[in-house]
Amino acid sequence: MEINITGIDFFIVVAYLVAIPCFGFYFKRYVKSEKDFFLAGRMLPWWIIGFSIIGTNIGANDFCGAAGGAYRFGLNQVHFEWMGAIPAIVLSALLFVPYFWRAGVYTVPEFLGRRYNPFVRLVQTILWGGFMIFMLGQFFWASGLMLEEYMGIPLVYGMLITAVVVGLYTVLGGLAAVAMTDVVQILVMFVGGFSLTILGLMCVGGWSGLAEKVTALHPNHMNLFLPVDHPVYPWPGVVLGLCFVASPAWWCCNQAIIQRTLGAKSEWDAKAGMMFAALPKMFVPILTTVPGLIALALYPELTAENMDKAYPWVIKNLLPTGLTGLVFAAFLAALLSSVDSTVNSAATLFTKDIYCEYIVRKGSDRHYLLVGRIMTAAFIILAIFIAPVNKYFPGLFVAGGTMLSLFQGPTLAILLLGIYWRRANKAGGVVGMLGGVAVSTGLYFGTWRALGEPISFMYISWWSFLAGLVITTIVSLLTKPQPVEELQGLVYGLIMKDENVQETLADRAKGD
Amino acid sequence: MGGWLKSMLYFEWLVGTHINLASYVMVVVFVFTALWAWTFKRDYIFEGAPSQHRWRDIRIWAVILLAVQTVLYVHFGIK
Repeated sequence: MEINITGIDFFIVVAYLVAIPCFGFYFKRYVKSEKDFFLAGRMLPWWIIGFSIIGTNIGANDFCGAAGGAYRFGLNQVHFEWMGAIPAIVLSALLFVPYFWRAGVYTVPEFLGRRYNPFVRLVQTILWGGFMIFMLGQFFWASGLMLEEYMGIPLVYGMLITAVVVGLYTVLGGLAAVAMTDVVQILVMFVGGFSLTILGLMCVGGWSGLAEKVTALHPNHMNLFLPVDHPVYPWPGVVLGLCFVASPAWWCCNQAIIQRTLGAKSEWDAKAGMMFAALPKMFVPILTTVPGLIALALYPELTAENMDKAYPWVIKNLLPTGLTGLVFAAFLAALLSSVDSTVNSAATLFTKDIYCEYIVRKGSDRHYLLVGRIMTAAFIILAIFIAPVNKYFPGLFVAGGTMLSLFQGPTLAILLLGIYWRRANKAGGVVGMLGGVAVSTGLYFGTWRALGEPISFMYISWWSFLAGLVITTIVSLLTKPQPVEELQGLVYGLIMKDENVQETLADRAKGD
Repeated sequence: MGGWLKSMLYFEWLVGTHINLASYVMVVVFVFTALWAWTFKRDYIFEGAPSQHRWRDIRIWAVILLAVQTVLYVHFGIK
């Protein structure tokens, strides 16, 4: 499936790779303090936040992975962009984001640490930080492979180019540069992606022609839901595990997603930014799922092992000169916008939750700004060294994803109870989180041992979430409640009624 | 692993139900979420907003987003 980017296409890609860091570098001038670096000086408006969230959310792997998934399983892949995102975004915008923003925190683990205790904060930091490092390794490996396959650049040089392009503006410009470049990247992604889908649909006779061809090949491929006994995407797992747990956990607890809203210039911008992200998110299936179905209609010979080639096949066979470069730039945009956000958020987590808490507690503002920049550069370098692990130990990356999925149900449970129920206390939070993880781990290995393969992660998410809710509730009711003073500004009832709390939080939000 | 336990963990007891049930459940979720959005008071919604124009009411945004989702799931999901 070789695609050679040459001529005008090559020029478009190179121009894109030069323009993005130049644009991001411009925002260095606004970074004078750690708040400027980690939270963009709290000056981001809602529309930049919304675009940046989606830029962070969509990676190049999503293009190939979702298209490959649609090729293999059909239309049901849209759940990851629709019911697996939109209700959770509404939940996050209305319930979680305002509390994070008002609490004046830099990270989600910091909020959990304030609500429960430092142990919860530490566990969450290690978990999310570790997951981000794994993700970065994958991103850099993918970028090296893409530049090697399509532009003939040796793999190591491809990764170094990505590191320089992203590093230039992320290290110096912080969150502001990341968010602003994300907006440009989203535009490139959507223009390139839509062009490809429109051309593809024209080739297969429009949507009805596509549905007809796909249904003739696989009668169930145009069904939105798959049967209860489906081995990969049974509908109860999709509804309960994805929509009710995994998706809210991702959109409400993921630092890389939430950090943009913490940099909002007002509470309303934070909420509206998150809500606005749902709009482009709804169109993502047009960029990813539909090309996978188009590839199936036109070229049904791909095997289960190489279905990720569905998207490259469409690029290679349908696009004219010029547009290939644009779509490849869209690919790179998806990748870079995920890399810069993940690097920035990983640096924020380790600086604020580890360095400021356990290494230098009373450093100056300039000191933490310098540490943030060093951490950002360090994560980029670390990711380059970790990236080749993809080739030699792919199981490690699977393990990284597995680890996160074991935690996400219990994490959502304690966060939800922490915000909604003032009776949830420190003991309940710690035992609920650990108990929920014990349940998810037991389910994973228990079913593996008994049935020869582990239970679907969607079901693990659901059952461990329920376990986290029940355990946190029981332990909290059996132990002493936390004093109200400790909960001010962190729990639902206490933020809506108490005027003193509002003033305190407003001062904290202003950095007074 | 006991048959009843596997049936419960994997929701096998739902085998035999019509596939449309999934779409109906999702429509209920969308409608419920839209109604839930309106439980938040106006002051809370507009906190920090430069003006109180109707378009800044993010409860309306939520309803529009969820209405589109409902239409999509009814159109593509119910056979």
